[in-house]
Amino acid sequence: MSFSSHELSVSELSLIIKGLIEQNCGYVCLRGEISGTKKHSSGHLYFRLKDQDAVIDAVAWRGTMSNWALKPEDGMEVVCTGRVTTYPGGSRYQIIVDSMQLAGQGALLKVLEERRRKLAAEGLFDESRKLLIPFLPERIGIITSPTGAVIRDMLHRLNDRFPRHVLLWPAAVQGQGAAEQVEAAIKGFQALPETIKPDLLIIARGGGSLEDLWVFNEEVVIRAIAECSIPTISAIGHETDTTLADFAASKRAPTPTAAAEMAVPVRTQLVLKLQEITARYSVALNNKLQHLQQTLSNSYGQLSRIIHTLDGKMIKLSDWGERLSLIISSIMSTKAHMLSIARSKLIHPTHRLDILHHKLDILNRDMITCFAQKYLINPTNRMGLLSQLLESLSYKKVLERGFAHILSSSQQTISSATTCKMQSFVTINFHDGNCKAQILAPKKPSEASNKKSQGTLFEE
Amino acid sequence: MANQNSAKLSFEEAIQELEGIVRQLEEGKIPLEEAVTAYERGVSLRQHCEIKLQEAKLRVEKISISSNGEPKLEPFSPLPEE
Repeated sequence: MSFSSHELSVSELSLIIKGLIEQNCGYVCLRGEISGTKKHSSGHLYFRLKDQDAVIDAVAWRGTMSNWALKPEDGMEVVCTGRVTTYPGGSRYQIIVDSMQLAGQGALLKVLEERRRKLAAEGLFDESRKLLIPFLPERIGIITSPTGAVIRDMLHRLNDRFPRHVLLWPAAVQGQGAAEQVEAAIKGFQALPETIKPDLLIIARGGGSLEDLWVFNEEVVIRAIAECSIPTISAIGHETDTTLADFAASKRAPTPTAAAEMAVPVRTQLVLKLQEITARYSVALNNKLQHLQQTLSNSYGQLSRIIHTLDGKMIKLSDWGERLSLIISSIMSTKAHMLSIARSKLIHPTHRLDILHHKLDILNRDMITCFAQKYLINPTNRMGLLSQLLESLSYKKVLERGFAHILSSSQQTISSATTCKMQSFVTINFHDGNCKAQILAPKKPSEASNKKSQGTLFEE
Repeated sequence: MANQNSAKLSFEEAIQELEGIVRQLEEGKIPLEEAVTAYERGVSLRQHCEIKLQEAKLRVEKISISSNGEPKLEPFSPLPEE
């Protein structure tokens, strides 16, 4: 504005300023931190918006504020929209705020939420996409800044737990081009030859503001993580920081060091576990062997008892066998002997008939000879001898020599005195005739003798 | 299973199989011949695990992109501030 010698009143100047301000920056979107809030009794809110180097007065009318979700507080970083105006009465300018949102985070969070919904709808955050983190990775790929505490802390932690082969893919994690570098690193790791390709990726960054971490909310990075064929762990910022990378990764670690802990187990624990397992299987196999040995020796005992019994039986069997064979051979020889005897005795019937004929002939001849001898050749002699013998045996010859034959009345021969005494009458035969006699009963039958009774008899 | 090359197994697979074998052996129900085979398998798995455990050496390499666009490995001082 050129110098004018025209004299202005204060009001005129104020109006010019007012006009200039309202023309050039009438309706603005202003970002700043709230401070010095004063709520007027009228309900209007007076405060200041400031940044590092400047400050501006602000006012929010009661009527406009009633529609806001946000309650302005000192220290809040906000983005306001409103009109800039001046207050000529106090040589002041101010912004009359129409709307207010949390700045940075607020605005970004809104973007973030929209993006999250969109990518989730595409299925990029689905649990089914998430790959399993290997229990013990062979090679770990880390995408982060090569300088600073993050990589150092992670390597420390890996070294403490289970040292591994680590491939670092340096990438800017903040600022222009960072998202593209991270994306290129994720894709680059997948494209590595199998011999050096990692089986786990860690995408790490230290703590920072939402804006600082914004790279990990960029769509290219999220898509690269979601499509990665290698399991990923996101380790962005601190525990309270959440980025979309956390949703897309196979696993979220609250901090980079926590990611290192998730990546590998503790080696010393595994060594102990392996020792324990080794001990267990040795013990188990030994137990098994002992058990089997016991069973075996038991079986052996039983077997030897059986063998012992069998031995006895075998001896008996062989004994019996021997005896049996002896008996059989003895029987056989006996039978053979008998057979030979029988065979020798066995004569053909015609031969036997011949013999019988011969015997018959002999008998017939003997008979004739004998008959002739006995009955034909000496018949006279024999007859004479026989009649002499007959004569001498005749009782009449005896009677001739003085003996008598006594008969009972019933014509029975009486040969004893006892019998005679029981008779009253007897007949006495002599060689030349008989006579009757009467028996006198003797006094003493025991002394009675044939002589005496005969004597008596003779006396009559 | 017993013939499967244990060299290709990951540590976790190997130790899981080993634990399975130990449980089998501890139950004592498998026949001796199988138990011996399982034991041999167990020994090989254990060796495999031990090798895996011994392979614990921190080696850090940095990947850089060469002029022709191919990534190449170069040593990286892992703990530069020590």
